[in-house]
Amino acid sequence: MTELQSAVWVSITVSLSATALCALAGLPAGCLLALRDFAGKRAVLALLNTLLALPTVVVGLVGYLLLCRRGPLGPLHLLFTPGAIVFGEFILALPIMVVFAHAAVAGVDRAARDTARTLGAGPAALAWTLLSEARFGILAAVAATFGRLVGEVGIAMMLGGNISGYTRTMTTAIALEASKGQAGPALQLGGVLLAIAVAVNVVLRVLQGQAGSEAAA
Amino acid sequence: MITLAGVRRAWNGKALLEIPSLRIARGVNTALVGHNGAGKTTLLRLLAGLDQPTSGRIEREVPLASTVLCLQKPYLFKGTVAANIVYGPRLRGCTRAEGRRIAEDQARRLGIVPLLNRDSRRLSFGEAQKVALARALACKPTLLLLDEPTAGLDHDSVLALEAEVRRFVEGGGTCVVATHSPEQARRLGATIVALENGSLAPAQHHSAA
Repeated sequence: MTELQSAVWVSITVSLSATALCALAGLPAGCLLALRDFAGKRAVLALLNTLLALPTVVVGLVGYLLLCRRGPLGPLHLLFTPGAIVFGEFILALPIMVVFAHAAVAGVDRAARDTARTLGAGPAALAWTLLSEARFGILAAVAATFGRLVGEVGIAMMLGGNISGYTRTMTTAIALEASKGQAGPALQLGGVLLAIAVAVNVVLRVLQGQAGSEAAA
Repeated sequence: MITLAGVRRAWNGKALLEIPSLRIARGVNTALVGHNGAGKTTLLRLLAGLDQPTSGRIEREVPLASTVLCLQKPYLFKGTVAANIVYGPRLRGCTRAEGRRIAEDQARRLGIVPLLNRDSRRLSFGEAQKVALARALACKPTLLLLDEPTAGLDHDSVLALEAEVRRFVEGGGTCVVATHSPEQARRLGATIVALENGSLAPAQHHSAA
């Protein structure tokens, strides 16, 4: 595998892993936020919305302090591994997933909730039913999260260390090649990133179209 | 079967429903009759356990799990009509094969067999009403609550649906139907509970037994 191919592979696997972990934690959390009323819910939503604009270098810095040898998570020996990038990207993207999932589930017709409950759905079945009803919104959330992570550079640089063939992602490789004055490889990787961005955008458009046509039906 | 005592339901301090006492008896058809805003839907939601009374008591002799409400504007889940009909049975652990049999059985009874594989979001309002009733009956409820189930149906469909409701009660079920129409209540052979501005109408007996 060439260095460029390796950067593409690391970028995609790391971003997909972080997206999957975010979905596992963020979808139930978003669902819970939409279904339950509790004291401080507005404050939680305001905080999550604020975290959407979290700068990646801040996440990278906090992640570094947590994962460095003397940090609380130092014994895990994650720093400068792909796992460290996944960890940082998880922190970055979790608010995105929760906010999108909350919006998708909260947007489902109230009658869906009443219908599921009266037909015998308990809390878990109710949550699954509403996630299923909001599936295009949920898939859009997953696609948007992946799109955000695959182009991320601050966390990959600070927590991954830009180690060739190991933690070097497309974005950190572009930064490195550009700093060396090597425009060719940087442009190639930029093209791959652009193609991924276009693919994610197409998926989002299709999903939004399907959600729109269902809403109109 | 269900006894209401001093039940009051309020929203933002405004009373939507006040029922001093009412008893819904087992094995009969009860019709809640009244104009818009009389409190029919509010009472059905309380009976279904979807809302709780602000004050007062609702005593049930049957578990809430065997009570099913058909909403006035039916909501069908994404997917096929068959998948909607077996939603309740699947929650109760029936297999795919059993589910298919239940869906076909209910669809046959309500005359919607050709709709079974149709997308639930591509139905007319009347078709959706029938699917919602089939889905409710597939749960084999003890208490069936129907909120204006024939709104939007043509004459033949109204008669077919009323026949299905009568059959349900003859089979030992208990049904409470909200309707604008006293004639429909009579066709259903129902005991009438008249509601007016969120209360029982003045001449109303306090038992539907």
